[in-house]
Amino acid sequence: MPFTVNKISKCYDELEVLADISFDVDDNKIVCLLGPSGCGKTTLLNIFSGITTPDAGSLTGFTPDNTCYLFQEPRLLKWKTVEENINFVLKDKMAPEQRKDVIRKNLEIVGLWEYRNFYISKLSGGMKQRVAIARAFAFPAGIMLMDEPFKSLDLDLKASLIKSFNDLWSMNQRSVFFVTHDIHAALILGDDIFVLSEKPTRIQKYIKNRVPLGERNLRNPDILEIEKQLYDHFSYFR
Amino acid sequence: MQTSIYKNNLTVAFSLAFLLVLWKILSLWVNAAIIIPSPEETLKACFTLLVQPDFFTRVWHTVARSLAGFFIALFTALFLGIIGGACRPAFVLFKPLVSITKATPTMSIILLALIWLHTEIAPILVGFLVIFPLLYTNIVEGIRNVDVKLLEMAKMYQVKKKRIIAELYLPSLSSYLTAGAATALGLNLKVIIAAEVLSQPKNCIGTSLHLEQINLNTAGVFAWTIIAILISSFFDYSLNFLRQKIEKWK
Repeated sequence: MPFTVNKISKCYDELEVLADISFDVDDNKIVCLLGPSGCGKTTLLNIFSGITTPDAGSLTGFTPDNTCYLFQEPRLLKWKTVEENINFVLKDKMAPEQRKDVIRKNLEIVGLWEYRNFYISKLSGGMKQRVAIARAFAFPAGIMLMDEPFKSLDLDLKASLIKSFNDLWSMNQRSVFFVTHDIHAALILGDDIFVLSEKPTRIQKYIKNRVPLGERNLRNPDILEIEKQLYDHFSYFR
Repeated sequence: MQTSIYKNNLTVAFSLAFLLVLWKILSLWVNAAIIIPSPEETLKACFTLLVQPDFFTRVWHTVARSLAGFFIALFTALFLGIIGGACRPAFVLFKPLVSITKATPTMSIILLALIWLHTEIAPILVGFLVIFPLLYTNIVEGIRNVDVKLLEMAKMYQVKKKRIIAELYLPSLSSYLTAGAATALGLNLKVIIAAEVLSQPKNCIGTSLHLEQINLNTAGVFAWTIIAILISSFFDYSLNFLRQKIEKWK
């Protein structure tokens, strides 16, 4: 297996956050770690990125140099234009001509090429997050870590961002590790869904989503079946 | 927008006219040009100064000193401020130096500068020592308020440190820097003229101001003061223009 998470544990003082997290996943899959708020999802993502060191356990396949990120907030530089923001992360990685092509391709996919010379303050919240998605996919990396990038968004905006994400991912597949507490985002995006418990966090359930990415929607019977399994699992929905 | 600018300009013009009328009334009431010259007498004195052959040399010497002091202070404050803002031990190390510079009376600085340095360059040191703490404090504050999440993003995307400083730290600093620079430029000019009055370098505003005072030509003192105010306003205007160019994203 290209990615192995082996018995990862993490404590902060007396508080045990992660306990024996283990799983194996294939390359170029969207792996969703679904869990309640405050269960340590971001800590797990930080361990994958190398920012946080686990107290025990080991990882295989995760290389911070080969990783791009999508955060809860767009994290864009307001004094740069849309194009300059993407250029900011690519400058040390690509030749100027290649950068131009990559930026154009990614901005066209998210529908923002016409806005390339706009300053960030002139964009709506959804457009900013689309720039952040385009930036992540423009960055040459085999792994993408996503920390609830669709949190606190209305349904329409979430659907449009998920579509932008799907379009980019289909064009430029990479291994995605996605933490969320949003069941719908997990259903639409996740190939492998790991359900996490409350603290100390463990993997409680694994669901393989076999519906092809382009066919996933909330009316698809297979997706609805997975949704039912997830709702049955979480005690507060029972 | 246009209407608002027009309204603002009108208010400024009204305020200036009011001050001018007040000045005229005061000069009429005192009725002694040696104490308060009238606006007309001051204007006449301004023209007398303007036609003097070395007028622009005198103004230039003061402006050059003011700009030299300002830029030396700005670059030193930027260098030490970025280090002090980013590194706590460095901030603690610089703290006594900055506190002493901040607390030392301006007059002590002027007198010591006169003892140590040539009269031509002593005012530059005085200006530097007065505005350096102000600029340094603003820069440290700006560095500490740099968005940590943006820094984290830049580090995660492996952006080189040199570019993080140039493209993230410096633009984040711009509003703190321009606010500090606006105050520092005006203050620096005032302090440099004061130092020139005491150090008496050749051909400059401070020395000329002192000369007019010795000759009991109060209209001349008023005229040089107005010229200093105009230079300060020009600095303000230039800085504002520069700020609009730099912060066009706002």
